[in-house]
Amino acid sequence: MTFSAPPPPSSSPCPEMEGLIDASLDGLPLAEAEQQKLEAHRSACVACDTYLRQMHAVLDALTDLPPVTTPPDLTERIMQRVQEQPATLKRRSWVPLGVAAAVAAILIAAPLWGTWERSFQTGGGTLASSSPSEREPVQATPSTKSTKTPGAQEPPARVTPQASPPSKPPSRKVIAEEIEAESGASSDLLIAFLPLEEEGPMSDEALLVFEPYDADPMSSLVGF
Amino acid sequence: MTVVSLVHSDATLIAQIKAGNERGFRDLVNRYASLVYAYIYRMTQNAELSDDMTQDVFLKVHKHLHTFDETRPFKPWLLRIAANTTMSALRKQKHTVSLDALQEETPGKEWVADTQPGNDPSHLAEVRDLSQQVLAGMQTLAPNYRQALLLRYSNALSYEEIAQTLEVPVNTIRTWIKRGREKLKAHVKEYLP
Repeated sequence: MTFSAPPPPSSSPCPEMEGLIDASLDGLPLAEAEQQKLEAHRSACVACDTYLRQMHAVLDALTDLPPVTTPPDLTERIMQRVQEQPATLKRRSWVPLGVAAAVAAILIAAPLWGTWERSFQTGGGTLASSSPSEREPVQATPSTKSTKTPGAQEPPARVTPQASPPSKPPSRKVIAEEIEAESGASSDLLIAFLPLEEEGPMSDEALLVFEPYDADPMSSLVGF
Repeated sequence: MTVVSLVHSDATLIAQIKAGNERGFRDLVNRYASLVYAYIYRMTQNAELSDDMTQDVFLKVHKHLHTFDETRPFKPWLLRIAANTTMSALRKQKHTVSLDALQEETPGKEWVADTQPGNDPSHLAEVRDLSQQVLAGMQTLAPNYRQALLLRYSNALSYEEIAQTLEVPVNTIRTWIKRGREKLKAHVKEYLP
């Protein structure tokens, strides 16, 4: 677009008229005397007149922007998400809690199983030494509690001392108190992770499945 | 046959929703989805983002409507949620738009339909150029200026309502609008009569 003559300077209005000009641009009603004063000034001041005219053109364009076409199915999609909201919120609120609880249980229970296992295998006395050599699983005669068919291929089993088998497994309370003395953890909390006494001590198979002590507890969290 | 059209006020509609009428919420969405979408679109110039954010706005409305006092005007409250949602998204995206992209998204026929005075082709071209430049200039403004100008001149909110919407003092809104329109005018000065 070209103009026959450049527009007059209009970068700012006269300072003494600024209040009235702002009010005019804001669409505020002016008193009759103020309106007359502004009109009189505009007729005498090209700069203020141009400023007001140009600013009104800008604001008119802003007021009359072309309509924005709303997607036709927007309402339906909003309502669909609204209807899904309770289920979504429920999933969002409970799933992380469940995962966190499971991870916490694994992190707490994993070392305890190994500790409890060694305690039990040494006859229920004080906690065994935790030197690496003593923690190595070794080939041993099949456990008396194993239900596998004799002669079948057995996976490496943990040592079950045959010479002095415990006549009676220590109670969960005793084990928990021993662990508490060693680690400082609350026995009230620990006891919840120990097997029920009626179930007896864990089988070798179960211990092999868990392999808790030597494994890196964080390795089970890789997928999270 | 007499057709009676029952158009509930916002307050009546919201009271019904609070009483458990989910159909009322659909009516509320029908009434305001275009307003929210247009506001967000003019802030972001991004149709996909505007669509997603409009949905987010109404999810927030649905979630928090029970806390809204229906004796107060609903539109500023709704636009406050839209404004906050938009600002959060803009902070994340640092969204920018080119003038070329802007021109592609503004079909010419709408401009012709909106221009009032006469059929003078040169006048239509002037209006079109100015409107395009104003739209492009809006994208160059700081988001707070852009929000204040849109709420004032496109959504016709008062200064007090804008202050409530953006949760800033009225005098701050006055400053933002004044500076915003000065910057906008400077951006389009070559297209002004």
